[in-house]
Amino acid sequence: MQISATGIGKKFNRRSIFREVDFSVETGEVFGIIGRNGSGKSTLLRIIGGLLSPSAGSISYGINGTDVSVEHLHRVMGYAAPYLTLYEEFSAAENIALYAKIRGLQKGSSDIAALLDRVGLPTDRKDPIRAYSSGMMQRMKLIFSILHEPPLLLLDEPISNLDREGMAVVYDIVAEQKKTGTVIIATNDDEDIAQCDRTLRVEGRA
Amino acid sequence: MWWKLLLFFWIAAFSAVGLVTPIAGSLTELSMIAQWSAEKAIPVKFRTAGEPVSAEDGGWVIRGTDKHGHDADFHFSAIPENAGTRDGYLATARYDTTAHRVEVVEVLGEYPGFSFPFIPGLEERAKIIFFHVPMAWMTVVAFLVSMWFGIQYLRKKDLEDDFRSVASAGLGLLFCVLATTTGSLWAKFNWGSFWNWDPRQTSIFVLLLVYGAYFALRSAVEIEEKKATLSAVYNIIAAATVPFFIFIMPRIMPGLHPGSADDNSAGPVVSSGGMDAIMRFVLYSMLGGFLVLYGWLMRIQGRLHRIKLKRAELAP
Amino acid sequence: MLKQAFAIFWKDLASELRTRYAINALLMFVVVTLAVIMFALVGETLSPGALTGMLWVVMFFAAMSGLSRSFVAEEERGTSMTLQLLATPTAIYLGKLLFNLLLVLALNIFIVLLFLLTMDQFTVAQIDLFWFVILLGSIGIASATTIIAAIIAKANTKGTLFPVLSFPVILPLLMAGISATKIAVEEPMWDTVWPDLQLLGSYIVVVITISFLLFEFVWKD
Repeated sequence: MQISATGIGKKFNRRSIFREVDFSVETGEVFGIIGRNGSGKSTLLRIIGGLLSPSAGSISYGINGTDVSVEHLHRVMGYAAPYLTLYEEFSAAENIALYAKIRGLQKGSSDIAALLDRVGLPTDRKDPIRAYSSGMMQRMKLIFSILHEPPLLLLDEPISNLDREGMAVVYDIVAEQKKTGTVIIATNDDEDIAQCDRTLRVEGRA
Repeated sequence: MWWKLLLFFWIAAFSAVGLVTPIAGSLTELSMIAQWSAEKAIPVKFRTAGEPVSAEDGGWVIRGTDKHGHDADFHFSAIPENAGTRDGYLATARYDTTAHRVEVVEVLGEYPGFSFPFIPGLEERAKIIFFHVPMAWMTVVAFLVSMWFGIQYLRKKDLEDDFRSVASAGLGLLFCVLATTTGSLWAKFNWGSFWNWDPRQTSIFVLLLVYGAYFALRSAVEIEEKKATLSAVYNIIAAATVPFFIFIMPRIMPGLHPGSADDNSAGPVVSSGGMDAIMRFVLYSMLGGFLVLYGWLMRIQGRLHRIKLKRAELAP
Repeated sequence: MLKQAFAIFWKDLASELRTRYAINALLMFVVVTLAVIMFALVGETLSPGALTGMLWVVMFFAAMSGLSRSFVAEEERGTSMTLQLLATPTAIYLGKLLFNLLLVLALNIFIVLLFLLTMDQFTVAQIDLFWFVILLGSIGIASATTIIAAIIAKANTKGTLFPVLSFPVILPLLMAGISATKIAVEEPMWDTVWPDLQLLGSYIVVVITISFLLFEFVWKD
């Protein structure tokens, strides 16, 4: 997945968060977005993910030379972030089945168990995920982001709320993704930054 | 600067013409009124076609011609001043169906060069048309302009377009309130109550609700960009559904307004092409004046907006 | 796209059946409103035409208290971004429209049945036309309120804003619906009711078309 962004700027209430951001990312890269708190890392990541429209500039996406429009970006992109909320009234398996169904994927119970196992969640819990701890919730969000094996993975502070074992799961996913696709991480954590091939510093207002 | 002065004089002059021009009927209206009420006197104008002759039952009779060229005897109780030298009169009068002559009640003045027609049921109250109708039109114009800039905002995401959309909606609300107030005051005197749920009253009431909802929505969203998008979308939805009233209302309610679909008594006021030429000229002049006034108010709001942005150091 | 829309529809339905967030409160709302009307009308004899007006008032307020739920819930729980990452805006709008349609149909059928059972004076001259008008009216209410619900879900004062924004938009539908229901209740004549039915139909087509065009702007931040 190739991404190239030119002259990206974002304003809220007429005030500029950041302006004139240019970068490009190639397949097989782990790209880091770093910056102080409030510099607009998450905002930039949301713009890259097509969740927000930029106030200025444009981004183009391509897979092996064919363009992908923003409308269809969600099909080829996985996204995990602290500000995402999953459907807490459903159990873990029901959540995964739901996402698969909306995406039009066939996932049997063995596929679901394998996914839960991969991120280190129990496979036999039937209760709503409302009761899950924040670390377990973060692992659920990782499943949400890799369920459809997307060529592009966007991770916002991926190791927040996670223990050592959880961090290993994240870096395993990143390493796996790097083989065939692209990863963009927005973070301030040194261990995350160590995973990145290149970084971009966002200098927004504080 | 000069055009603002011109605009001021334009509106002032046509307001004066609209208000001062006398209303004067003809023999047609006199005989029409006589069928409904023997006592009611209405303003008429007529030219004298002969010398005053003393009548057998007292008073004086002058042969006269109304504006359509119809002749009749006009009976005065006392001989009017300069009777022999005047070429016409504006007077209140009624038609005496037994004596077959016009009873002049009070002489108001000379034969006026131009006048507005007498419309049974409206009379002097017809003059509201020069103020009320332009206000109602401006309400709709402002609403359409607001929607147009709303669409432009959705296309180009330029907050200046949003500003124009709000400014126009604000003026639309002002004109809407003015049109509603003048209209319902008038309705009290003409139709007997302030509010009658006539189709056009209902439509303007709904427009008032739409404008109210539009501003309520805007004040409930904090991020300017989101505020602009949501209010533009609401504006377009409202503009798509309000026209349904044109089809639904006449089925539910009979129209009271002149020119309503089921109205055949409106006579010469607004029935298409039938409006008196002078009235139409004054009305269109006032419409033009209001349109320029609207443009001017938009400009003032634009300047105020730029000053505010500059003070907040947000000017683009 | 249709598959996605149905998946979202099933998600909302399963969520509603599990939490009973809207439906229990809504059914109670209807019962309470009808009880208030009956207490207010003790000993009064009202024409079926006047009761038709009452029926629509109950249907309108039931819709106003329940139909914003599906969008407001996504926004309040913070799941709207999750949904945005899963499906196209068109599929989401369609899924929500289907859910609202089911909810409003269930609600209106419940209201009408209660009305027919409890109001002795409410007799319907032509029952099939009557139900057809209720069906069209329900579709109309669902189509108009879905996009308005999407708008107010993004605003701060969601609850109070919903009826304020909905009323001017939904008023033509209410008037045509009341007029058509009255004809069905009092003196059914196909040629008098036909313009109302045309109006209801074209209103639904216009509102749904414009909602499809505009929903993406509302939905995306």
